[in-house]
Amino acid sequence: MTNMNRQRTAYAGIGPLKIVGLQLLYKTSKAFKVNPRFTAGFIILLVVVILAIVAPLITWYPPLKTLVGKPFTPPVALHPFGVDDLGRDIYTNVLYGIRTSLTVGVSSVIISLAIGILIGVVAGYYGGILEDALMRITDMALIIPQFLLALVIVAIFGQNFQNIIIAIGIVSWPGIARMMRAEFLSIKERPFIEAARAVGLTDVRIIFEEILPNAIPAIIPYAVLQINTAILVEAGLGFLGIADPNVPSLGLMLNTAQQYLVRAWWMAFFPGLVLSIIVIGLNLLGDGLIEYLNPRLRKR
Amino acid sequence: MGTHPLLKVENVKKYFPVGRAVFGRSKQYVKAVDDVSFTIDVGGSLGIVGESGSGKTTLAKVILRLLEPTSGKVYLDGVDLFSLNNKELRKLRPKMQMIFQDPMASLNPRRKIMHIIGQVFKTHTSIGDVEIRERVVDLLEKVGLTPPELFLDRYPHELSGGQRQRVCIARAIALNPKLLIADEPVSALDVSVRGQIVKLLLEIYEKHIDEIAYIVISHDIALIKSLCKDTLVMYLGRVVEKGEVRRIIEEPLHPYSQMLISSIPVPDPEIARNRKRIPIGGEIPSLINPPKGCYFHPRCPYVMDRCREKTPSLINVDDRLVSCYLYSE
Repeated sequence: MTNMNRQRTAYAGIGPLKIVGLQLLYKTSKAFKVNPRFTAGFIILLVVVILAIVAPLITWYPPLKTLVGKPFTPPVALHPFGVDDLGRDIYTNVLYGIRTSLTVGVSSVIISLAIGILIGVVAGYYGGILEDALMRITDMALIIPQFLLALVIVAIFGQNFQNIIIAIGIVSWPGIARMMRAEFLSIKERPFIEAARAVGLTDVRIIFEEILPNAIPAIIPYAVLQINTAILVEAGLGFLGIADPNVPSLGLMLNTAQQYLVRAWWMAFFPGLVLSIIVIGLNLLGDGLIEYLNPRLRKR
Repeated sequence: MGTHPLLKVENVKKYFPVGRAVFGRSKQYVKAVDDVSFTIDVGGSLGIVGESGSGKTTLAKVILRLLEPTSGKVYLDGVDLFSLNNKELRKLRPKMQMIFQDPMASLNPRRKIMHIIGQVFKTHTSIGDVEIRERVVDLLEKVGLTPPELFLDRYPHELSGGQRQRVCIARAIALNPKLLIADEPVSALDVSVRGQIVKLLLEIYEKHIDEIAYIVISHDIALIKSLCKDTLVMYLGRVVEKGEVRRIIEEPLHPYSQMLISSIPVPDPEIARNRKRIPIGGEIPSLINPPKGCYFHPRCPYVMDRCREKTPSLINVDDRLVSCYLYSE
C-alpha cells in the first residue's frame, strides 16, 4: 500500500510546465500580470533594444557622416529629427547613440559586477580581518563621488570608448560588493550550507554551487538600476565633452546642442527624449523587479 | 559483528562565550556541552535524549566538527578528529554523516536533487558523470524514491516532507559512512510519514550493521527506543544517565529520567490512569548561570543538601551510569 502511495505522489506535479522554457515563460507572464510597472519597463526596453539592433536597416545615412543635409535643417521627411550644425542626420545618430548607451551600460555593469561580486563574496564568506579590510576599502570607494572619479580616470587614461566603459565600471562596484557581502553573511548561516559542509564540499563548491545561486537574484534588480546609472554617467560625461568623438553619443549630442538651443531646438530635443525614455524604461523595469522579487511588497 | 570502538568521545566540552567585555575576553559562557564521554562500537546504536536546550544537537555538531570544540577529544576509527586540519577533515567527512532536523532547510532550494546528491560524488570520487547518475539513481531507489528518474530533475520544494527527508538520507549514505548521526530525523515530518522514515532508517542500519554505527538525537525517548539499543539522557549539557534504552524506560534511575519517562503519553487510558506520574516541576534553569552542584536540583523531588554543593559524578549502577547521589554508597 505504501508502494502505491509512493507511486502516486511521485507522479503528481509532473505537467507540461516541466519544460524549462515554458516554465520561464509562465513565470514571466505571472510577473506581467501582477506587475504593471515591470510590464511597462519591459515593453519600453524591448522597443529600445530592437531599435538599436536594427539601426542600420532603418536609417539611410552612415552615422557621424557630416554634410548629409544642410546644417540646421529642421525635421523634415528625409531628416525626421532634423540636421545638426555639421550637417549630420540626428535621426541616424540618435539610433546609433542608443547602441552606444546600451553598450556602455551593460558592459560597465558587467565590469562592476565582476569586481563587486568578487570582493563581496570574499568578505562575506571568509569574514575576519579580510572582511574588515575589504569593507573599509569599499566604504572609502563609496564616498568618492562616482561621476568625478570617472571623469578623472577618463581624463588620465584618454578619451576613448573602452576607457569610458572601464571607468564607469570601476566607479560603481562598491554598492554591489556591499550587497553581495550582506547576502553571503545571511545565506552562509542557513542549514543547507552546514549540510554542505557536513558532506565535505570544498569552499569553492560551497561558494559557487551553494551560496551564489541563492545570492544572485537579490542583485539582479540592483544591476538593472545600475545600468541606468551607467548610461546617465556616460551621457553626463558626453555632455561635458568627455566622450569618444568617433562613437555616436547621446550625451555628446546634447553637449553640442546647448550652443544652438534657441536656433535649433531639435538638436537637443530628440537625443534628450530618447535618453529619457531609456532611463524611464530601465527604472520601471528595476523597480518592478524589486517589487516582483520581494513578496512583501508584491501583496500591496 | 565486530565490537571494536568506532567512535570514542572523551570529555568533550563546548562553551559559547556570551557578551563581551570592552577589554579582554568575556567572562561568561553558555556551557552547551559539558564534559561528555562515551564510546560506540561498530554496529552500535546510541540515542541522545533530552529536552530542548540540553545540548544534544551541539554535541552532534561538535563530534562532526561542524562546530569547533572548547576541549576534549573525539576519535573516529582511531583518528583524532580534533587534530586534523581542514583539508584532512574534509577528506574524512564521507565517513561521518549527519541527517539534519529540517529536511527543507538542509537542501539547497535552487538545486535539483540530481545535483544535490551528485555533488557528493563529484567532491569525493573521480567517477564520471554517467556513473554518478547511475549511483544517484541507485541511492534514490534505496531510500524508496521510486521511480528514481522522476526525482532527478526536481527541486526540493517540489517534494513532500517525507520525500525530502529521504533525499537527505540518500545524501548522507551516498559514500557509505561509518558513523551516521540523525538529528531529530522525524520531528519536522507529518506523523503519517514518521513511521516510514523510521522504518527506512532501521532498514539501512540492519543492512550495514557490520560497518556502521548510529547516533539518533531526539527529545522523544519512544523514537530512540525504536531505533537504538543504548541511550544517553542529557540535561543542560551533561549526561545524567546512560544505559540500555529498554532498561531506562522500564526503570529509570535518575530523577530527571524518571520525569522524562513519565511524560511519555500512553495510549491505553487504563494504564495511564494507574501509572505513577511524576510531573516535571519548574523551568529549565538559565545556561549562563546554572545552579551550583547538580544542575537538576532545583527541580528534583529528592533533593538533598549535598546536591546543592557538588556535582555528582557518573557512577555504575546495574550496568548503567547514573549521575545522582541517590545511588552512591
